[in-house]
Amino acid sequence: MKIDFEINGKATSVDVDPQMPLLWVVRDELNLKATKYGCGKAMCGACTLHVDGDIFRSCSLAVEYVSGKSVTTLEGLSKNEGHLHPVQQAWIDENVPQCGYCQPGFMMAAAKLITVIPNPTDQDIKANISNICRCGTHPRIIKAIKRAAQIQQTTTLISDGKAKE
Amino acid sequence: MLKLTFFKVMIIGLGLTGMLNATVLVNYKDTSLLKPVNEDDREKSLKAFGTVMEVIKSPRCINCHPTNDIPRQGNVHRLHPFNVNRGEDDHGGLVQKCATCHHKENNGYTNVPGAPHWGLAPKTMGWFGLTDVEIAHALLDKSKNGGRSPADLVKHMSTDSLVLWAWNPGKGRSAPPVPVDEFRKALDEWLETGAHIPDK
Repeated sequence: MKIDFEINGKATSVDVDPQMPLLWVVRDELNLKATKYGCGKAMCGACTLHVDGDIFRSCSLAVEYVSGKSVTTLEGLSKNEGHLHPVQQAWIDENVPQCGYCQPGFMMAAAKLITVIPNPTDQDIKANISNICRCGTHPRIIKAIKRAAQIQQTTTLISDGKAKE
Repeated sequence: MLKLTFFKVMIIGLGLTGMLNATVLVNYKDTSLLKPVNEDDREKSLKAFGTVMEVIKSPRCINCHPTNDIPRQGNVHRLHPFNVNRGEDDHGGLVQKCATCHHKENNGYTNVPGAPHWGLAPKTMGWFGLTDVEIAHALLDKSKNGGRSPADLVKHMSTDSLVLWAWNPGKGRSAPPVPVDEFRKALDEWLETGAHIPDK
């Protein structure tokens, strides 16, 4: 079945079983490898990506559900290397990853978090992100999310300033 | 002296029970369509109520009718992991929503359950931990049941896609012990016979 949707800002079309998990469409059909297979039970969050701005566990999301929608993976979070997303910049600044396998899912969840909670507390982060990191990088992740929120606010202030000029 | 005290307590208790019943009956009149309580129907009504309770208290139903903010899972009613909570709209938090993992149908790959408008019942419809009597009152009280008349209640419980999911719960999950048609019939009968409520 042919399914049309947008991936990282570009229109795309795939001809697959409509029940195929979006994760495998993204990785194997579209060759975008940032999104990871972890538990395969929608629990660990390694496969987290955005659909129309909300987070989804892509291992448990049939591709037919994204027909006509806009999907964003970690590859599409920033426009280019010169303009990193606040979460990407913070992850580098705080040197977050250890093995790194789960980090794309964390980063996509974090990117959503700072849009709905611009100045998150530790509790906000713990309550709203349930991804799992078996390396135990959670303390650095919390620091990085707070840093990302700061970067986002600074960027917004600069943008607002330019807009006023 | 002791007997007198016990007697007094009984009188007060009966008085309070009578007041409670009177209040409830007024509420039921407000909901309309309920037939007047006929004591001759009591046995039939209570039997139907028992059948309704078998379904309502089954894990597939009551797990998503918590009296707090956290759904439950499995036949042992364990708390849903991952900080899942009802949020402001009963469909999850600001970032993680029920729809982050649960979609319009059961997922054949991950076995994550799904049905349209997957989410928690509103807190006023929380049943977990309540007695049968408390659940019965909650079912009939318009201020708690989503403003539903008895007819609305039957319609909701026999046609709502999320309610009906209980009888199509996916691999490894048991359906309620009563078939959906029998459940609907029992609910209808309980309401038609005046919705008698057990003494305790």
